[in-house]
Amino acid sequence: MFKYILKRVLIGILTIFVIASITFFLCRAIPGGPFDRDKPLNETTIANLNAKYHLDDPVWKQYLRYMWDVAKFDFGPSYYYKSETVNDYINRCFPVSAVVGFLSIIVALALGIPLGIMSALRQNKLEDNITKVLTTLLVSLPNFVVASGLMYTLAYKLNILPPALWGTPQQAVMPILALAAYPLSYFTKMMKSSMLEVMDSDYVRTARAKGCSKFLMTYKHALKNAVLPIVTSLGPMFAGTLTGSFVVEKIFAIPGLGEQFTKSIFNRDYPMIMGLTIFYSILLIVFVLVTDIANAIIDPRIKLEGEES
Amino acid sequence: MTADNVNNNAKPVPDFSVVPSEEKQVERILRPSTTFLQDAWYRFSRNRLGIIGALIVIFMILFAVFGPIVIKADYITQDLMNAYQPPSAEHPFGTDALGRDLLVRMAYGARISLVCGFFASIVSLFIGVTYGAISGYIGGNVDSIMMRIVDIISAVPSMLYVILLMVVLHSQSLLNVFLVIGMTGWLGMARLVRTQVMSLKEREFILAAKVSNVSNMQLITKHLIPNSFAPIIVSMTLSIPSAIFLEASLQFLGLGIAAPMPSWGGLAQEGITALRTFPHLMWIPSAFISITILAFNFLGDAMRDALDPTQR
Repeated sequence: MFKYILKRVLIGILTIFVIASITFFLCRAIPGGPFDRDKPLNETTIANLNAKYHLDDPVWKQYLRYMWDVAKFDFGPSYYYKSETVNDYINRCFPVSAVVGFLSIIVALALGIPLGIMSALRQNKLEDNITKVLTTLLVSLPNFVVASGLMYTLAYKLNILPPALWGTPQQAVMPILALAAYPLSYFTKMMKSSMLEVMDSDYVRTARAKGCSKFLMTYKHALKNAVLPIVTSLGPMFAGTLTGSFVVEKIFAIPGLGEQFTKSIFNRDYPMIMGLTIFYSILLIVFVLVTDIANAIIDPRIKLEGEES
Repeated sequence: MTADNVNNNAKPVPDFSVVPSEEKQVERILRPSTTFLQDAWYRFSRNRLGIIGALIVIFMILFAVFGPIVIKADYITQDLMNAYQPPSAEHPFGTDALGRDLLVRMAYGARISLVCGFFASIVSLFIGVTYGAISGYIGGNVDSIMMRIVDIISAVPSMLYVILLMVVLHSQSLLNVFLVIGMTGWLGMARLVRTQVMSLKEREFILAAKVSNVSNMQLITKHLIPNSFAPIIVSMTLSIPSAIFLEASLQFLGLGIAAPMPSWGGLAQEGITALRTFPHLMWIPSAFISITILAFNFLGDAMRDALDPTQR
């Protein structure tokens, strides 16, 4: 177990290192300096700015400096917002994104697991067919379609929710629902297939044969095992929510990290782009790692890679 | 199963009569033999959703190819007097904020979306299959290194790569979207082919081929890859909708190709600005994107059921 965790952590660190290096060299490969403006600044200003941000150093020196800073979770200053650093932005915007993302996953789990159980128990009946249509639809609708559909019906036609912006709980409802659409259908499908598989297994039949009630069989014996694949899929789902948040935050004008990221692209704010890319990668890798380890702890049957037994 | 069928279909024979040796009914195969592909086609043609998906896909392809030729309007001429027209006989989908015909812009958008989709499937076919086959066939350390590389690339969502590339290339062209699809589109396929090859290479026919001195290259291209054909085709089909999805999301964020060239995601993004007053500008592109993705998903699922009946 320990060996497995150690191995995964090392691979994770290697991955982050590779990603950080790629981002660094890609951003250095961009033609034109970061201070090129439509109205050119004068020579001394540029020289001073370059000196201030250590841009006059040789590339390898800049690279080492940047990597060292990243190792200390310091992503440097923003070139666009003069008074703030990339870390300030992460500190301010990430909680907003995290709340939306986290709640949408919770909503997806809270709806998806019962729906999946229901359609497994009532397979090929009306409830199952409705769920099937619903999940297939939600998988095929891009985020922005779901989001604008919600906005149009709930905010404009029914007038029950504010259409955009951030601050009150009501304003969080639509972004959360829009982000939850895809994970919801994914969890439902997964829960259904794993529930069907478990219900078909020998130990459930034995439980039933011993006189265990249908209710107990479903919720005590089958559910515990059927829910395991969901834990594994949390990692990839989290990644999906992250990408989705770019679109959803843009539509609902939420001051989250995704919105900030897209903005920094148009501002050509390189340290911000680099910093946020690396930050997202770290987040993702940590999350996938945690879910994998959690899964290994919950399910002792999983044979870990690199573990001799 | 065949024996049962033959018995059921055999002509009724009077009880206890001796069967003349020249007409051994039991040995005869009554039904014509079907090849794998005929079987697959039979299963596919019974799948209603799959057929619907295929028809929609064909329709979209025709729309993309012939739409811009047949429709008289062009996608770039602005007609500000006729901005925000609702759907009418002259403009079946209405006009956008600059008075451009939405139908013809949708047709150009269809070209871009479909080209991206098919490009993704080609990339996953060539790079993914080659990479996966080599990794799975050689195995050992080469395999672990090659798979680590795949893990590293897939650790980051493709959206981040696009954004980085957009920044680096300093341009808004289809090339960027292609590059990203090219970078990330083959990962799933590589993993799939690798597992296929790893299980196939232990089989007897591979041993037989090795004994008869078939080179490694030929072993991969002539034996291992053709035998993984079914899952490869399915995965290729299913890579199309995810590419269309990615492309539309990028365009929606304003990160795809530059205006005035229309794309579905871009049109939806223009539409959402007028969502309250002219919702059709949003709904038409959204509907096309969703229906196309849905159709490709149906098609891919049907193909999986048809080609790979064990993998439901």
